[in-house]
Amino acid sequence: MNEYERQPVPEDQTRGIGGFLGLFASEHVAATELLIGPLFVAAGVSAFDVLVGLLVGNLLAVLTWTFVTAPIAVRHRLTLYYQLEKIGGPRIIDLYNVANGVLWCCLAGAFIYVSATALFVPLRLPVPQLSDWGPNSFGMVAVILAVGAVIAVVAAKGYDAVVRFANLAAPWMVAMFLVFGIAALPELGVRSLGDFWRVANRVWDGQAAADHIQFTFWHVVCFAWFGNMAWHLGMGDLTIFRYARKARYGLASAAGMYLGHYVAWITAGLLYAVQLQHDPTDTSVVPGPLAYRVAGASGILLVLVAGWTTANPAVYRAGLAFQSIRPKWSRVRVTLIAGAVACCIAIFPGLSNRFLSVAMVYGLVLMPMGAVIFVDHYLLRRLGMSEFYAERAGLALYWPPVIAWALSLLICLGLWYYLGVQEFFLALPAWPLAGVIYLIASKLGQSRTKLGGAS
Amino acid sequence: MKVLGATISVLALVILIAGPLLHALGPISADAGQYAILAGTIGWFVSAGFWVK
Repeated sequence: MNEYERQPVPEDQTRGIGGFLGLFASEHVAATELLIGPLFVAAGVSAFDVLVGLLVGNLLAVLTWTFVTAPIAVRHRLTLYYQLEKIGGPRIIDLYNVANGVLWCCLAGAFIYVSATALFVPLRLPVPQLSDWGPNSFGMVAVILAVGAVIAVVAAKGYDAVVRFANLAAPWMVAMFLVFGIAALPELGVRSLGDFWRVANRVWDGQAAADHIQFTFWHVVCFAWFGNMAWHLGMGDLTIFRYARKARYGLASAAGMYLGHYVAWITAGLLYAVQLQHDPTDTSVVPGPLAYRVAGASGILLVLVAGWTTANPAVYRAGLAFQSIRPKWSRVRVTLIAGAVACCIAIFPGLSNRFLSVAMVYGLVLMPMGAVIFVDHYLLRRLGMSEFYAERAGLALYWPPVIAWALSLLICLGLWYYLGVQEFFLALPAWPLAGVIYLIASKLGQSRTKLGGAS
Repeated sequence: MKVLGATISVLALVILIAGPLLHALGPISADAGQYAILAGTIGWFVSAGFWVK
């Protein structure tokens, strides 16, 4: 089957909006929603902040997909990798793959952890607390390593069966998140619509747990907007939308945002509230026991399946990213090594307990490349420069994108370290900054002689 | 088989959601609600294989 990895997708291979609606709905109802919903509660958001802030933030994310990502995807119909290679040369893909591989290992660690927590209930393992960074028992380490090992082996051997199973489970997973909400509400004392607001103010009470950043309305807005910034502002979804018949199909992302990042985050928060109601001292964010309390065995199955079906592609992508740097390396071996790294990360629940920050860092690291693509597409030619410069000049590495990437991240680090700007807000200055740096560096770096006088 | 599978899948999802909903409205216990969720889950996975690509 032709995946059009190094050529534009032909017009007759483009697709209608239906497939994109299904894809986004299934991709964004996943294991991490079971961490994010409870962590919002632990971060002390208020009911208004979460209910309205998520509406606004998700709308901004949908608009970004629609007006930033999809138009570029539909114009060129190239994968992110190939478009980046045309701009920055093949060597920039190596750098991107190293960053991507490391970040996918971290995410896979969180997914493996979520999946393994499903077994904490039947095995009666003690759960790690919200403030824990390391594992709290030998049993926990053994379970996580066992689950991670199976996931890594399946990913290394090729996971077509898991993809088929994930497609099969996707509608059920969406329904299960609805079930969580329906089952949790009466437990929390909601008997009528009128009770909801009173209970919501008790669930999202505005008090952050110890050692957690106090979230405000703007934290919620920015998290919902930038939670997937690697895919929209970072242009990761060029690869998906290059198949879209029209750029307005970016609106299909609303299916994922409002089912996954609204309904699922809220219902996962309700699960956490039920746990706190039973035992106010139990602040642990452990998806297995959370889901079991309201949905029984099916809840455990959901956690296992949601974790499994997201961890598998994550380990596979990490392996592929590392292997593409040196194509002679065995993909199976590299994937197994990536899986082993992910397992080592998974045994530290501190990462999952700080998943809100981890998700932001993931997006921030990859996001500057999106700004480079945006500026290359919209501005360079208008300002008398050449787009896709590395390809036209035959360069293995064109430095301006690398400078924009490194400098914008360095400035982010400075803003975070010296000025205390939290990671949730860093994308706001960093994305335009990366674009401006790329523009200036291109102006200085583009040599007309390299292109034989043409630009 | 596809039509039968799809029909059973839809029914399974209805049972899955109806269980906790009926518990929330009062007529059935929390345990009965959880059994309905389990029945819906099993029904979904048995039937969906016949029609989901």
